[in-house]
Amino acid sequence: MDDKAQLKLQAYLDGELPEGEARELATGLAQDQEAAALLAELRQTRDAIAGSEQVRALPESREFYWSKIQRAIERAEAPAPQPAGVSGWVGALRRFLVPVTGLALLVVAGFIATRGTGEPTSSLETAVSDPGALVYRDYSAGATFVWLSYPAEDDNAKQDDEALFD
Amino acid sequence: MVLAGGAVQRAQAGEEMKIQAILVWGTDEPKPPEGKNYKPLDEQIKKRLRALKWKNYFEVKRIDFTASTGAPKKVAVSDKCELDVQALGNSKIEVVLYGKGKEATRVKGVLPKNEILVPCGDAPNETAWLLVLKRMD
Amino acid sequence: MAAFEELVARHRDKLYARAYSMMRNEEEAIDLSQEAWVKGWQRLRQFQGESSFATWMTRIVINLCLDQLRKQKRKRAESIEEMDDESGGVERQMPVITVNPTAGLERVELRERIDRALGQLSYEHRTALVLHEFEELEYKEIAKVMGCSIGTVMSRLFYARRKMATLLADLKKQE
Repeated sequence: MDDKAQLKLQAYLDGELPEGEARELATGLAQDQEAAALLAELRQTRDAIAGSEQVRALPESREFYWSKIQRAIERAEAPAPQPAGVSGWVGALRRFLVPVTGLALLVVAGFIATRGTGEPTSSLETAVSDPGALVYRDYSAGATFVWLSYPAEDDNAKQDDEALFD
Repeated sequence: MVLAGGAVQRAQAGEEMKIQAILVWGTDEPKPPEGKNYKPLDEQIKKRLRALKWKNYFEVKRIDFTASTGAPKKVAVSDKCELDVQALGNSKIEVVLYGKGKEATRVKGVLPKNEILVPCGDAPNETAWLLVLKRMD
Repeated sequence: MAAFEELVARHRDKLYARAYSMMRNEEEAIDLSQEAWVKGWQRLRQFQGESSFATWMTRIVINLCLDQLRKQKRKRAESIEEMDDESGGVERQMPVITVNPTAGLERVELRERIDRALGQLSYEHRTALVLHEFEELEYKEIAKVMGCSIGTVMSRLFYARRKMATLLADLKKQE
């Protein structure tokens, strides 16, 4: 028997042959001992395996197994933390800089945004004690901006133009 | 915003820096609030603020002073806005801002000639306050 | 979540057993079955009751096992067996087993022998067998799951069955 014939026999066994081919094969089996023997072996093996999957108990306690699943579910459902530095800069920059296109141009023009450092070690650095401050420099304009978090956002603080500037 | 002194003493003795501080209000409003006599900011300075998003800038107050490497110079920019400025040598200055009687922040930076150093922050109704510091020497 | 935990408790052994049948490794089977439960939770809305919940979950774990096996295959060299499988030569040379090697075996012993024999197959042959005999998938479904042609499924299944017959006969000889 060639490969094709053997696979056809298997397909017949598994009910995967079209009806006409299945009938034709069944008729030919009576005259083909080799095919009949092979079919018998395949059937024997199939019948032995089917429904005989090994029964296995999970080797972990119910609580332990579930606790890991629960933690994984909670982790998967927790909102992804924003990278504070990047989003903080972007947010702050957007608050007081020109819109994105303008910002892009400024970047091209050599605009640098940095966090305030401890000590200004060069003309490019500015130190700020305000942890919420953002320092950025517009080289072409010769301007260094230090955006401070003051006045702090405070519900109790009644801010108005007069209070700030008078 | 109230500011007070205590700047760190540093660097070369005897160095002085002539500085102009301009308190500026940044807004998209075409005019200052009624009753406020703010004038439009000088165009030369406004050009330097092109990175900022506001359409209009108004000068609230302008003060000239001299900062030295000796004691900090106290500058009353407004009734509620005071700062201490001290020269640190090599064009460096330290500006201490106080708010409501407490130190709000310290800004230490380099202020070369022909440049501006601008501490700034939020003001109500999506406007901004800016303190434009520039060398006059 | 409590209701889901109850489902986990009810079906966890079967899901683990299926993962083990495919992976043949306890730790991997535990990890992949847990991963399947997490995915099951996330996709619970998509479960429309077309099949039983157990079947649905089993399909999830099978896919995870296949992904893992593919990753492992990329890392290891092909075995000679697999090369022969591709050339389709070995199984044609196996003598036909005429005596039923599992006749008279108690169910427990039968499962144990089949499990031992399955462990000696390559992952591709074992997977084809597990999906057809345990999961009861048709050829075209197996092809879809395994990402191969129906012809390849048929070849792998044929080889796997023939190899199993030989292995079970050998195990019987060792009695």
